[in-house]
Amino acid sequence: MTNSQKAFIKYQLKYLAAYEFGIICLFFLFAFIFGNYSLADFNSSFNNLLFFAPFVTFHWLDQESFKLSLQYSLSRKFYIMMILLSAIISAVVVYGIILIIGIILQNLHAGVQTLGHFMVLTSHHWLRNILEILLASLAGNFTSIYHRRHYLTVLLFVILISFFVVLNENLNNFTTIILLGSTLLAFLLVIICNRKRVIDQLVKYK
Amino acid sequence: MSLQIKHLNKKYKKPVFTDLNLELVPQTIYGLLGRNGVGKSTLLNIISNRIFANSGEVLLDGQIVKNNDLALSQIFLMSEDNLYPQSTKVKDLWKMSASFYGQFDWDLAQDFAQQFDLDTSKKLRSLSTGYRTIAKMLTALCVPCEYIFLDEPILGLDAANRETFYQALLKAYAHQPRTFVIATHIIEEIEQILEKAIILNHGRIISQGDVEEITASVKLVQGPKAAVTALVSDQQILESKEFGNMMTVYVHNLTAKKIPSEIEIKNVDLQTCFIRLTKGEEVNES
Repeated sequence: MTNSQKAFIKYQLKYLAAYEFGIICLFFLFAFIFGNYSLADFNSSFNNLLFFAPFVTFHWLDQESFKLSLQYSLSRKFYIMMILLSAIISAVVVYGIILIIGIILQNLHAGVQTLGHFMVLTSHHWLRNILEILLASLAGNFTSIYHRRHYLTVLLFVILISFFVVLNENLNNFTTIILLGSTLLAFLLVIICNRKRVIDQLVKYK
Repeated sequence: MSLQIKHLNKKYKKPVFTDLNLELVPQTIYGLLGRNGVGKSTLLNIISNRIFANSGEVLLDGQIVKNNDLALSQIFLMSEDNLYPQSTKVKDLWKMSASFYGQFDWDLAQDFAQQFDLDTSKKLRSLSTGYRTIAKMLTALCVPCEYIFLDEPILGLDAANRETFYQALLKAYAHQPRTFVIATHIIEEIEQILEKAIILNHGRIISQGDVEEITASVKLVQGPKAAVTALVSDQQILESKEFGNMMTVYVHNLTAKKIPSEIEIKNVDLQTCFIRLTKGEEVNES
C-alpha cells in the first residue's frame, strides 16, 4: 500500500468518525425529543435520521475526498473502493454503536430504560436500518460526484428527501428493495461511466 | 525513471490530441508552451490520472501510470483548480502532503514561506489569489515526487514574487534534482530557467528539445527586399514584413548557404520563436 493510499484512508476514517459521532449525538437528541411520545414517532424520526445524516455527510465528505484524491493522484479504482468501504463501515458502526448503547441503557436505572428499550427495538429492523444508511451514503456520494451544477444537487437532494419522507411512513420490504435497486443501479452507472468523459466533465467543472 | 507518452488521443467534442508522443527525461526543467486552449492542462491532467485519454498510454519507468497508485505517487500536479480543502491551514496542508508522500522538505518549505512572506497559519480560504497560488506552488516544490507538473504556477503573482518563484524553483531543483514541467504563457521570464521546451499546437507537438536548439531553429532575416526574397524563396517562412524597400522574414530551419553581405541574420528568443512557430503554422496551413 502506498503512502497516498494510507493517508487517504486516514483522512476518510477521520471524517467518518466525526460523522459517526455526529449521527449518534443526533440520535440521542431525537430519542430524547420523541422518547416521550410513541414508538411509532420514535421509529419514524429514527428512520429519517438514518437517511439524512449519512446522505448529507457523504455528499459533503465525498466532494472533499474526491478533490483530494485528484490532487494527490490516487487511482479511481482505489477511490471508489474506499467510498464503498466507508459507506459499509459507517452503516455497520453507527448501527452497532446505537444497538450496544441501547442494550447498556436498558440495563441501567429506570430513567433511561425506555430510551434503551426503543434503541434495542430498532434492532428488529437491523437489516433495513443498515441498508438505509448504506443507501443514503451511496446516494450522497452519487450526488456529490455527479453534480455538475449546484442546482442539480439541490434538485436531487429534494427529490431524494421527498422520496424518503413519503416512504418512511410505511417503509416495508418492497420499498426497501426499490430504494436499494435504484441506488445501486445509480451507483453502477457511476462506476460504468467513471472511465469515460463524465469524469472529464466533472474535473473541468471542479 | 523516464516518463513516456505513447500514441495519446483525446477528444472532447473536437479532438484535442491526435497520436501524441512525448518523452520526459529525468532531472530536467521543461517548459510546456502552447496557445490558449491548445490542451496543455488536458495533457497534464491525463498524465496525473485526473482525466482519461480516449486511447494511448502514459508510462513511468515502463509501468502504465493510469490507475497505478505506485507510479502515481511519483507524479504531482499543481493546477489552477482548488482541490485542497479550503478550510485547511497552509501548515496543515503541508502536513497532509507529507502524509500523502511519506516525506516533505520542511526546511525548504519554511525557507520559501519566509521569502514569500507567506503566513502558514492562515487558512487557504482566507489567502488572496496570489498567496493561494504561492501556497500550492510551495507544496509542489517540497513534495518528494520525481515528476512535478506546474500548470500556470505564476498566475496572479506580482513581478517580485514571480522572480522569487524562479529562484525558489532553481533552489528546489538544486536541493533535489527532479523533473519539473512548467506550463505557462509568461515565456520571456521563464526562458532563463528552462532546459528544454515542448511547443504544442493544434493537438500535436510542433517543436521540442533544448531551448537553445529550438531558438536556433528560427532565424530573423533582414535586408533589402530583393536580396531577402531570393535568399528565402525555398525556405520555410513563418512570417514576413515589408518596410518600404526593406524586408524582415522569420525562417524556420534556415539551411546553410552563402549569405549576401547586405542581409543580416539574427537569433530570436524563445517567446519570439514560439509566436512565430505557432502563428507560422497557421499561416502555412491556411
